[in-house]
Amino acid sequence: MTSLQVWRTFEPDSYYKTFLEHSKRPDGRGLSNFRPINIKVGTVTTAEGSATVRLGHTTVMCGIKAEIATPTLRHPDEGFIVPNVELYPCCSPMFKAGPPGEKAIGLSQFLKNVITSAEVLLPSDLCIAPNKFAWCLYCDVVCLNYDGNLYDASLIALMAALQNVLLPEVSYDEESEKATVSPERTLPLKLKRRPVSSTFTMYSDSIQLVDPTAEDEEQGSGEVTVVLLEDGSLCTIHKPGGHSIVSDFLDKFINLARKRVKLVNSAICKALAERKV
Amino acid sequence: MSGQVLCAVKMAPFSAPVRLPPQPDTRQQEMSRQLKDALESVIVLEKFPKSQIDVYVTVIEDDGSLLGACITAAGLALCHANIDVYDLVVGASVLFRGDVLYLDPRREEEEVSDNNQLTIGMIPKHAGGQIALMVQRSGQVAPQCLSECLNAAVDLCNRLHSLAQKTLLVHLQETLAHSSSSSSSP
Repeated sequence: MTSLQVWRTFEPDSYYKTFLEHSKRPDGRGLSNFRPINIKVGTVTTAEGSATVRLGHTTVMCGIKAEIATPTLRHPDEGFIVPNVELYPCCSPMFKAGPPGEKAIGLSQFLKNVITSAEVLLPSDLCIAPNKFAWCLYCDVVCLNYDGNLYDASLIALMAALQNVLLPEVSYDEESEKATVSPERTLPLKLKRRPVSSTFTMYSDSIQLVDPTAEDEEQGSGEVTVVLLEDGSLCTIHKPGGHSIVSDFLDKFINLARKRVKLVNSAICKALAERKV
Repeated sequence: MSGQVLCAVKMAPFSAPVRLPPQPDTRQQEMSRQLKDALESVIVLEKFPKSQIDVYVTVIEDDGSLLGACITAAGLALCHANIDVYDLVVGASVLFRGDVLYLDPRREEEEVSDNNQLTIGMIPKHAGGQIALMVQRSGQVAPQCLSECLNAAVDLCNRLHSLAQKTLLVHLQETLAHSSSSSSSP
């Protein structure tokens, strides 16, 4: 063990603070630098749509399975989108086997909120025959390696996977009340919006870090997630407790996030284009 | 008290043609149990007194020979984690239908009825080759047939073992090259 590793193990707080004093982070990034994004779509053949996203060492995989279900009585012409996040013990010692923990449930709910509030996909587009059949999209996000900033990684993976979905064409015969699936004819989903999230960790009143690693999250006190749409308008701000922030900083975050929206969406487009070639 | 092994095989909901519910089903529990049995006989448990080794396997996509792949992955991960094992454990699966032998079957081949599947986990370089796990499932099989299957599976394991060994060696060389270059630069 080198002396640097000893310092990191025994005095993690002072080790970390020294980096921040020089406006750097232990992985060499500045405080407002994002990690490189790596996206691959169509990675799982058993899913209707899938994507793998890497943000630095954080690796998440999203697979979308489509099933035909019956619409609810309240909304007879709407399909379902069910995001679900699975954090297996494989990805970090933080997570234990068994029923989903707080973090996984919170993340699933966050994804659900973003999808519905941003109107990514109209539930009525998923309807096959009112009162009879509708598509149910199960969007399962699996974390393969956890190194912070799951919010951004899962939303990017979800959006990339949604754009990769090909649903078989279904024709409904009203007389026999039967639906026929024709797997040879497939259609992509009609996505209306492309939200992108950016996460910041609050360390102190004056120090905030973008795109936190697991170490940043551990040292900091709470995260803020800002979700913007592709035209730069604000969709969601998610701040589950933590250190308080001044509104000026929030403005700064939103400006940083605005630049990231274009970057992320073009990265997804590039990955989709690579897949088609 | 020697060490204990905890194994959990988790299949991602999108890994099968029909979506799997997030709760573990009997198949996952069965595989976890079989993997545990295999690893317990491979790890030098006397070297880990009063401790537990957790092995978690995540299945991203199932395209047949799943248990064999899980064993090979777990074996490689144990070696990567520097845990003492008697030998690198590898798993392989063969399928027998009629007179045809399918090495390393795909999912479609497995799903066809009236076939026999034999999955073994073995440590080919320990004491002249030892089998750590042998599972025969779905259907009946004649003893002569089974020995033929076994020979084919052992042969497959031997080939897999040399490949796995090579992979570890390449990884080690890369890590060494990386650490020597990073320690010399600053």
